[in-house]
Amino acid sequence: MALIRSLVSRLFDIFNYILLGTISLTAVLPFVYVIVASFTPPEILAKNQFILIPKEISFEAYEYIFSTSTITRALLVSISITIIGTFFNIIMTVLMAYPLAYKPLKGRKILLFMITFTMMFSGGIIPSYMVIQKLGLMNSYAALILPSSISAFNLIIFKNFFQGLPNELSESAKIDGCNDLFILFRIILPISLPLIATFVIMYGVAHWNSWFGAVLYMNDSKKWPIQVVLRQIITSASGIGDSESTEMGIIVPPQSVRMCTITIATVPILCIYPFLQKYFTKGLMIGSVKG
Amino acid sequence: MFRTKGVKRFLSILCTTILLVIILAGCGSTDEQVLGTSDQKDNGTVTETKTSEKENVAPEKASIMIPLYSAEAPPKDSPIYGMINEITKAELDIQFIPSDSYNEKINVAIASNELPDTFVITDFKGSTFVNAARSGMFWDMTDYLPHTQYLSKNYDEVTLYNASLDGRHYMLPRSRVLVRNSVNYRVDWLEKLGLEAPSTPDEIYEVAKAFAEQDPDENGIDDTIGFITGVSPSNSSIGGLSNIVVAYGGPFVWGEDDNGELKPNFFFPAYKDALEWYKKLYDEGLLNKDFAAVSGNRIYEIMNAEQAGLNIANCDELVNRFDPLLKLKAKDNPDIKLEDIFGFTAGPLSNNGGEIKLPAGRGFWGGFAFPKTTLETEDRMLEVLNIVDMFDSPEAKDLLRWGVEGIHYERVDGKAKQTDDIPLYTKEVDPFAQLLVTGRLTPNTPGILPFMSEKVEIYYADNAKHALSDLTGPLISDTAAQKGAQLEKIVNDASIKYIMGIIDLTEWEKSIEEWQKQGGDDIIREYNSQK
Repeated sequence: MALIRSLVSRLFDIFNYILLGTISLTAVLPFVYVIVASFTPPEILAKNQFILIPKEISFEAYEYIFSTSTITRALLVSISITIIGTFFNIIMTVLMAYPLAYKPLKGRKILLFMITFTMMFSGGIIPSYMVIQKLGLMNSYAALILPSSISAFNLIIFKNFFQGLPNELSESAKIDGCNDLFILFRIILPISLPLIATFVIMYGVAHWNSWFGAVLYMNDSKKWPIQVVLRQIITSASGIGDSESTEMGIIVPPQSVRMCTITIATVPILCIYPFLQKYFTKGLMIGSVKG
Repeated sequence: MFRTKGVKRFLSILCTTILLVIILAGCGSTDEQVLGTSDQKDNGTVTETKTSEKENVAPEKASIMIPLYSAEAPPKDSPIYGMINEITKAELDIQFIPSDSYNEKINVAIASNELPDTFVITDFKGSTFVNAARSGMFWDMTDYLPHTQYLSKNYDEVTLYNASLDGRHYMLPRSRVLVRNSVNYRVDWLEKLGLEAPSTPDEIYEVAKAFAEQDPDENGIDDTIGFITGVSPSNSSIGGLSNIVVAYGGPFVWGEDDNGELKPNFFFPAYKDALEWYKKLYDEGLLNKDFAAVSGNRIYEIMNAEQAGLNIANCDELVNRFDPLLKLKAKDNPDIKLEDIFGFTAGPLSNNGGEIKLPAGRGFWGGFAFPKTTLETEDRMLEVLNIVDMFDSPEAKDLLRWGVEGIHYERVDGKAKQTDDIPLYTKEVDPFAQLLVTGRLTPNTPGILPFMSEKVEIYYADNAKHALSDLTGPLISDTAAQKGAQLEKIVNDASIKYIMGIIDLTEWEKSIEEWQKQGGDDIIREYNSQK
């Protein structure tokens, strides 16, 4: 009986592995295809085959891409904006969420209402543009970092997390003579690492993938992040349909160059995940409260 | 030790300040893609507050915004920059905006009154520009144009007419080719099968049949598509359909019916003939089965993979889309040229002969507009107009089209021959070509072009006289500006379904009624009231 059950459960396990494996393949394969395509000579790629194992490796596309400083510069811009921006995001969000988690705070309800209000209604693109313009932030990286420094939704998640922490923690620290800032930075934040790691990824990916702000506020093309350059390389005018004329003589980069740019623009942000992985697996509050 | 109350107060003040800053910053996530033109009802009230900084700018400085189609913008120290400054006797500040977000950027700049001295408006029929121009936000150039040194001589009438708004010129169009479309085909396949170049719908059908059934690529597999087409993502229009409509005697996009009323082409019997033509191709398996899901570059990928060899498209697309195929062919035959693989012919032409009519574009791609908010006096406007006029001077034309002699091109027998360093040209010269006004069409120095490009240029020149324009060229319909594309989608989607045999003709007729109900009648009325 036990044997049969174990056989059934083993079959069930195998079925699960196959199912989950298939689902993860659908997520991984496009990446593999793009990366392989970026190493394939253009004329082989043109044969319109779906290649997953490269027959011939060529660095032609990469040589072409790195023949000018454009991509390198754009990568540096993106990396800087992502690092500084994410750091700024986390600091600001924590500094605002922690007091809002403190129930006796005066005006807390009104503040929370105002925050949720911004989640529902936004001024739209033109007011944002005018604010940046009038603050003199045009063409400065601050225009890409400041306006989006706190996401209302993330703020509420932080606040709820802080509210869920045991009161005894801060109370005992207070009795020991800590002030609020000390409590926040030395006691609360260390046990919030999993949450912070999660939002480093959330905010980081958002910064890395954002492009429209740069198009609006950065008139100097030297300050464009990688995503803007990527879009320039990928969007090629298409002379199809008869809706509107397209500009004449647009030079379309070959498929392999486009794939190569996608690879260069995607891989760096994928690389941060493994470094933050360990925080997700840690127990949330092991040993923080003595029973 | 702090009194906790004090710290708390400090914290709450800090947070309130931060919050206020955020609320001030609008907290609107700037990463949202704005879909099309937002229906901003900016009534163009020009604010009286004059920015003082603009008044103490030296007169010969000018800021310009133009779209950028390549990966990077040229730096300020690029040789072209210095030379165009010399020619125009000005200090230009050129801002290159990525082409695919150009309209959003300009619409935002117009709505917030933050415009450069002059800029290229590409969406000249969009409600933002039309409303702004009608409310007097831009200089009316109609009376100034005749006094320009070069532009007054170089413009052609059709282009100017198509670029007018309410009969006035609020922008100076950048001339482009009128007739660009052609029937493009694989020369080597035609030769192999012993066929003639197709130009009428019937001939195209014959060639498509041969391409699909007689294995022109000689690989022994039945894998070739006879006639390849796709669908535009913006309004679902089927590639080549409106050209076939013209071949069957219909108008191009909009034309006059028997009562002299402007109507879109699907009101004409020719449109049904064109649909039947597509349906026949589809039913016989000559059209690519997935045409409704194919767009843009995908068509060229399929053609590069030698799975198709016949389509209707802009003939200049042949010049720069088939490098991979050319490289592949060059492996067996090092001397092969593009014209050994591809050819094109004027068309589609009427089956019954008669007068040649070819669908024509507007004859321009955007144009320079002169905002009153930045050019506050007539004198200042004339200074900037003079700069734009200088873009059309012979030496500027040469510079913007060919680059610097000795670096980007050599003079051979009075013609410009590009040097082999094409990447350098693409990087340093090509972005500046967006400044050309009429020079794109009529260069000062003719070029020595590769044979295919030469053929394309000749095609342009020969066929301009057969141009059949969309009659709504200079007319503005507010309904069309707001939801024209969505409405077109209704009919176009029905056409796709009809071709694929999902619906019959009566159901297709219903889509026209739907189009009329949802705003089509308004568009017809608005266009006809302006005639």
